[in-house]
Amino acid sequence: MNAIEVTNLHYTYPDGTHGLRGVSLCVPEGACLGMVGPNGAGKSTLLLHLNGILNGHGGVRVFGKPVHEDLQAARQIVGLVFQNPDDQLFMPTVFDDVAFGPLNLGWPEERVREAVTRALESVGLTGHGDRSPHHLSLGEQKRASIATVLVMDCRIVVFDEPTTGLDPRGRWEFIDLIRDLPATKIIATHDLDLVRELCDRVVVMDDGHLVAEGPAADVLADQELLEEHGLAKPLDG
Amino acid sequence: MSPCDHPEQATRRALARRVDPRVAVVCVLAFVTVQAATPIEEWPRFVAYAGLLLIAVIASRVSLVWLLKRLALALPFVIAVAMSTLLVRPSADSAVRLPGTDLMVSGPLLILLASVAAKATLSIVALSLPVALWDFPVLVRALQALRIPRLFVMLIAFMWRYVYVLGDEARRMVQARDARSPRGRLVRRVLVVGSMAGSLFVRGYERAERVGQAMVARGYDGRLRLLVPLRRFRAADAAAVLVVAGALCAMRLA
Amino acid sequence: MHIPDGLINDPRVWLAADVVAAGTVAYAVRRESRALKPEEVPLMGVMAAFVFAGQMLNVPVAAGVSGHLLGALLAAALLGPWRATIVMTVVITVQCLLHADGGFAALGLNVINMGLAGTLVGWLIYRGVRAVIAGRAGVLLGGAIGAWASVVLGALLVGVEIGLTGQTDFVTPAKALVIVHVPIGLLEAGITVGALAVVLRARPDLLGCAPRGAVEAVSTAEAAP
Ligand SMILES: Nc1ncnc2c1ncn2[C@@H]1O[C@H](COP(=O)(O)OP(=O)(O)OP(=O)(O)O)[C@@H](O)[C@H]1O
Ligand SMILES: [Mg+2]
Repeated sequence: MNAIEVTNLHYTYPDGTHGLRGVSLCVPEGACLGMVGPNGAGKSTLLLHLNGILNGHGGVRVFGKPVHEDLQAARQIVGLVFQNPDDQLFMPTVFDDVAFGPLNLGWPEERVREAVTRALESVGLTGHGDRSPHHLSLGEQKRASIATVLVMDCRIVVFDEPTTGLDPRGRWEFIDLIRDLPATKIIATHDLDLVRELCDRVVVMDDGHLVAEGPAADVLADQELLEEHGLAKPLDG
Repeated sequence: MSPCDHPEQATRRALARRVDPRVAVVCVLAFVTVQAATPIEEWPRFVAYAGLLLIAVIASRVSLVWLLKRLALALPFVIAVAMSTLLVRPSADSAVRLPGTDLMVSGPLLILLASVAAKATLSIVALSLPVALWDFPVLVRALQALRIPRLFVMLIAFMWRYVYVLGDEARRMVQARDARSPRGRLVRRVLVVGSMAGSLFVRGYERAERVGQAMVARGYDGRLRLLVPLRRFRAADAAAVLVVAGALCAMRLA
Repeated sequence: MHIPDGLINDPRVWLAADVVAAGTVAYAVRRESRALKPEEVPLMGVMAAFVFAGQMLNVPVAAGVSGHLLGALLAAALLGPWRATIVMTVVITVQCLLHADGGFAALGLNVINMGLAGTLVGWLIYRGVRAVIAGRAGVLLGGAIGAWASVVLGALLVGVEIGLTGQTDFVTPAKALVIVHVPIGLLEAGITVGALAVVLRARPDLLGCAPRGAVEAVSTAEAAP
């Protein structure tokens, strides 16, 4: 079964900018999909449709069900990790932030506490629950952001540029964390090595279109394609 | 940027931390209001207030230097009133002789000077204690438990979180400006700060839109749900309430 | 201009101010809560942070002297009068409880002088000017006059409040405070105009103006006219 099915999706921002100009995409359950493309290609715009935050023309289905039929259910299935931790972490403490989603789902207090403890442990932030997000390092902030989504036991986890700004060690820690995550994963990124490391399939986006799709090894080996969409430096001669 | 000075380590082991923050906040606000409502002419009461506050300060283990820095906030007002006491020529019926000198000053202004000096000092010191003892998130929880309107609790929580983010941006802008050309005509300097404020606003606005999206993505529907660890009231809480309430009553009735 | 406890020595004056301020803010909360969409709550919270952080942007005026934005009118122009009232109340309350800046008994006085004077009266002036002068010029001129007036009115109110205690006459403190605040108001007007100009360029929709051509990116200090 397909975890995500997007058919002919169009989206225009209120100021007239075309974010998406007809995108179709299938992600099978259990896959790890990489999404690459230059700045402004429409990656973030597409991701915001996957749990119904934006509502464009066209269809978005999650496990066969249209997202807009039951938004709350879709948001429980699809977890979204935003690019900037300052957007993702908005509560006074890390604990409150991680507990935010579960409390909105109406979980009982005991279950919330257990889940938060487990999520913090899985990202290596045990004992940091009482700290304020702005006092964490960027790497810790990124991991806390991931915990806010892991805690909800989402079957699909979507990452927007998860490794920008991380130092090499933080980047490797992230890769290890994601590799073991038992969920369908979609990762929008400029980090081609990350894609090579983690993803089985890759889509290339440019200017609101999906311009290529295929197994990661093949797409990343297509020098001409990468050059055309600004993902690799043209080779001389 | 630090929106509040952080509690010093010493206060972590203070006796006053045994009191529930909710109780402490209520006691402090009651104390501040009662002392502000006391006529300054009844000065023995202020000695008693100061004594009560001194006990709380000692039990909180806050440093004198830190308190003095905060007290500096009231200084401009004390100076302004003191200056006007000396400069304003008193009317015949309200003039009093300044003890030990030939100076005639206005009686009501002298009272005003005593009032602002005494009440502002007591108020600032008292208001400083909860901040010194507990981290801000704990105090937000206390406010929530005290049934402050939910919208206010949410706004205060967001504000505190994003003051750091926007404050950092503001500081970087000021640094970038000062690194280039801090001078220029005053009008231009003012307009430059204006456009920095405008940029700060636009960025803040767009950040708020993204924060809203991140909240909605995690099932937010307009109701903020927080786990408030409601501790049982303990002996220390009862003692604090009794001491403060008893002392305030006694001072009002005496 | 944060009034500390004790400056207004007569409890009747500050109690009355507390009641007036609480009533007005309660009305604003009830009125806005109904219309508030979920994602507008973080917006107001971030705006409170903006007013707080905006006060860190200092203008060096002369050696050792600098001024900064107070922001009540700017908040009202961008959020509307009632939401700005709530935001300014939150800012002033947190400044009182966190920094001990401004007294607690005097909170109502401070909310009136630094909040309501700008978010309601200043805003009325701003709307009035915009009703007469259309378009961007109206926004900027209305912002300038409204901002100046809100600061001077706030100072005048402090003077009146001191007078109400009966310890001095009404005229002396009011005159002194207004004289000092006329230039401070000009500073506020200048900063407000600079800020509104940037918002007009980047997000004219937020001020109820039509976009002028393509949306430009906002840069930092270079955006100065
Ligand atoms: N809130 C918005 N309002 C108007 N236009 C927007 C908004 N957000 C994005 N856009 C525009 O939509 C287009 C697609 O943007 P999007 O953020 O989806 O790109 P992206 O692929 O995520 O880029 P990046 O790699 O830089 O994150 C861009 O032209 C962008 O300018
Ligand atoms: Mg993006």
